[in-house]
Amino acid sequence: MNALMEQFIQETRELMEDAAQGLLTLEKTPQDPDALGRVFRALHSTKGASGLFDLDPMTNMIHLAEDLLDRARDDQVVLTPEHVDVLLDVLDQVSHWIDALETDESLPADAEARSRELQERLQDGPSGDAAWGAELPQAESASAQAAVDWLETVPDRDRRALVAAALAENRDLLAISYTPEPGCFFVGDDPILTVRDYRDLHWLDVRGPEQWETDEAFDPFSCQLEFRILALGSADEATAHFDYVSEQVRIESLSTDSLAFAAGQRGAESLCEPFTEQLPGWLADDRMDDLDRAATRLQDMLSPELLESSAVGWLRLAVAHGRRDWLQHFAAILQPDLTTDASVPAAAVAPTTAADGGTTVPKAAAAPVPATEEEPAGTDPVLLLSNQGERAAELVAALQQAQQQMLNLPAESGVWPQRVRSAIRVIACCLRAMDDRPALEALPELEQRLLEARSGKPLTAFLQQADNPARPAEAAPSGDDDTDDAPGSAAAAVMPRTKSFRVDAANVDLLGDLVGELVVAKNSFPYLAQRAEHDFGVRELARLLKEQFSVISRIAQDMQGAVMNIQMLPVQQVFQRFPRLVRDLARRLGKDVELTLSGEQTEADKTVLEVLAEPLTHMVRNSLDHGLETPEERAAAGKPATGTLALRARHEGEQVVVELEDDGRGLDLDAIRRKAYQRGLISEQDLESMPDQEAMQLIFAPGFSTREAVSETSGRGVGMDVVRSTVVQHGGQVTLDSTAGQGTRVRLAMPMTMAVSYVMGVEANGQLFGVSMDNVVETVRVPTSSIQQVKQQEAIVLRDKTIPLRRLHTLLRLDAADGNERQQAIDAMYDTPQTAILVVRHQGEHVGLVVDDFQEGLDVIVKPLDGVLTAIRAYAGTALLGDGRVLLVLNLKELL
Amino acid sequence: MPIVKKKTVLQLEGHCTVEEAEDLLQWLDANPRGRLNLRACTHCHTAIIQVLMARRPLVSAEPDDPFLRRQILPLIRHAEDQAS
Repeated sequence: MNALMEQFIQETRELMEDAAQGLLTLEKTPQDPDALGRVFRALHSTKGASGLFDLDPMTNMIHLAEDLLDRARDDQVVLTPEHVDVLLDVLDQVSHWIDALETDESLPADAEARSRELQERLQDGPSGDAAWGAELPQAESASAQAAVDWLETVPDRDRRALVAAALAENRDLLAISYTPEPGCFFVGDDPILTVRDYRDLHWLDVRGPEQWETDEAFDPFSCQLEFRILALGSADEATAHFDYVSEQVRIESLSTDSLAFAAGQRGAESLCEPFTEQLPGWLADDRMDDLDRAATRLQDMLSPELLESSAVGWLRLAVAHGRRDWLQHFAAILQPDLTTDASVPAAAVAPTTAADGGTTVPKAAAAPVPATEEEPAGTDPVLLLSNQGERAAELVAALQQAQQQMLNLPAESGVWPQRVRSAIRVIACCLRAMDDRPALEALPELEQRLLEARSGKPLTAFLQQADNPARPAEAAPSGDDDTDDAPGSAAAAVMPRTKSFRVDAANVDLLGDLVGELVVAKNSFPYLAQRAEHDFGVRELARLLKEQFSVISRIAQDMQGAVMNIQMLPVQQVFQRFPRLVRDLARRLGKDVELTLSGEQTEADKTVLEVLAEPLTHMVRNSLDHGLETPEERAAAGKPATGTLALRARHEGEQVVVELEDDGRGLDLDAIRRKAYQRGLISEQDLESMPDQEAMQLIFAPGFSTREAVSETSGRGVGMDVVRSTVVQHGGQVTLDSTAGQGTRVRLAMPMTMAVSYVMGVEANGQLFGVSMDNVVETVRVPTSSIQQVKQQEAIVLRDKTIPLRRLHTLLRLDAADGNERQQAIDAMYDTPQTAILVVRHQGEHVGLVVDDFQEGLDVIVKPLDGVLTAIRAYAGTALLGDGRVLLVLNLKELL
Repeated sequence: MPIVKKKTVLQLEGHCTVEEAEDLLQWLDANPRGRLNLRACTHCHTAIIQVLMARRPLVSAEPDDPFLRRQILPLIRHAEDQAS
């Protein structure tokens, strides 16, 4: 199979799962835009990919499903459970075909017919339902046309700068609202990166919630931000840039009018009076240069927060760009008695003048003074994230030149300080834009000198000085700006991106195995060192070996940790199948069930999750079939009609615990006892006297089922038995807790990882055996004389507790190993002969295992026995030791 | 190592990825008066920015990166050094 097809199969499976989850959400909240988008995207991607392989039946069918969703997105259709049923069937069909593709590399023969059948259902609904594709009243779709509602939050200066740039460069204004999905980080999105790479970006605001959670409730991995962007560029380019997240982005074209409104607080009528008095005259006589000069002076006097300052700013902009229509509007704001509402966009107030506005005022006439012509665009260049560094440099040069010219004009004494202040302000803005900090710091000094000199000479000197030694410094930052703001340039290209990629699980498994081997192989170093010292007598080499060992040991451990991390997956992997399973089963059984999942992010080793999947599915089925009642039964029992089934995962120490809890009828212990008696599992006496806790355990007995009839879902009597044996086999435990009438809780505890196990080495008859450390309670040496004979059984009393003893060599049918050298050596250390006892846990009890001696604990990879050896159940597996010996790991559950 | 933790200053360097967000949040919650050095930071994943927006730490060194300085820094500044 070619790699492309392989990838298609793999991806489509994931997409189908994702879509199914989305559909289930939709069933609960029919028009949930996130879920709709999710399903739509999944289907869309699949359709696109399927087109590559000539899978027409599939492509056509998905296309229709997509249509249906599209109509739902436009609020023309409200999705009903019937819709969801058909869509789920479509997903199932796709999954089915994907399976076929994987085995045969082609669709099954009936694909065309199946596809047509589903297409008909998609088009007509299950029973010619009139409301199937019916259109909803148009009013509902108003949200799609809602205008950008945050323009008022854009600061006045930024709006002016943008409008000026839009008018000067004759470019389109765009407002982009980008609300990333809360879960977007998990699919590898980095919204800020997307925004940053958008080259037409001119203004950005990022909004979070009003109030951030202060405690643990704050989840850093759930995106709660909203991006508001104003851009100068074409809508097509913006659409293309945000294509990948198109569901989360709203792009709207703005007219310059919609941004042109004054903002701020009124508060300087008296200051404006001289200006407003003359204003009608200037307007009437078209004396734009006078107006502009006066406006510049007035703006200098006003605090920028004031409404008047804003209006004057807009006036100047209108003059510079010949927007006659705006002149009227903003002039009106300055004349309070005429004003109605300042924040109304200009075009709305002056619709009549707009007709003859714009072109009637020649640009040259509007700006005879060089300084003012450029000024609106450069009022605050810092705010303009200019894409063109060169252009910015030109602009700055022009501005600085203009200031020189202005200061060289003859001036009356009263005007001079104002002129200086204005020039300094412009220059400060320029320097800030060019990132020239040393020059910025020198500005106050320059201002002082200008005031004293009463001529423009200090400025000329200052600029020349800045030109000569500081020129390279000034040029460099401007170059920086350039590279940074223009994507695709060197800086942007080098920037590392977070990437994830797919790897075949088999490769990771192999890596894990190899690392495991390495961990074991490194264990041979101490042994080598020992031989070097004792057998070859090279102490120096032994020391070096030991040193090297610690290094390799550390690396191997890190590697092991890294590989284990790769293999750690969230429990979600297992959980995600349940919403669908529960929904389908509940519908079939006529029950109302709400499934709640929690702790989906709990991580566990991939292999552990694989093991958990089967038992959990069994248990969920059991709960639905046996545990939860029908709505009628529940109502009769005084419970809410909807039953709940909760799946919870969490870490407990080195274990991952999954709990399944339902609020159903609980276990019927009497029925269980009776059934067990019928099956001969318990005696008649037990039938009456067996405690509840024990009776519950009966459901784990092989072949046990209380159901009379075998149903489709459960009742074949393989359920809980298989659950327990699977879990226990992999080192986990199952516990059960149930209250009649209130519900059942099953708890599965599994070790987080199974790759490397820690075993205790014990010797019996000169052979080394391993015992899983999980089973070991303690190791003790007791005087042989303290062993007591109780009938056929040996036992010791350890801390007032009687512990039955088993001899390992008898269990394994080995020859008794009395009186060997090792034993003598040990005995020599004590006054009386000693017996080594390994106390282990066995079915909740402590059992003493008599061994010849203990060895150290070992990290090993236990491999299950292969081939004919699988029949030997006394051993859990084998492991290779550092010195090449094979360690047999005991399966105590079988042995004892 | 994009996050360098010192006693009272946390340094973000280079390209800070989503993985660092939790670490950062914990540090900020543990050191409410801790300062942030963003000088050598070239890009922060959105999750990082979000943590910074939520906690608004004191910034001891502004980022050299122009985008971060102009567009992002004002969003995450602590009220106390907003004025500066």
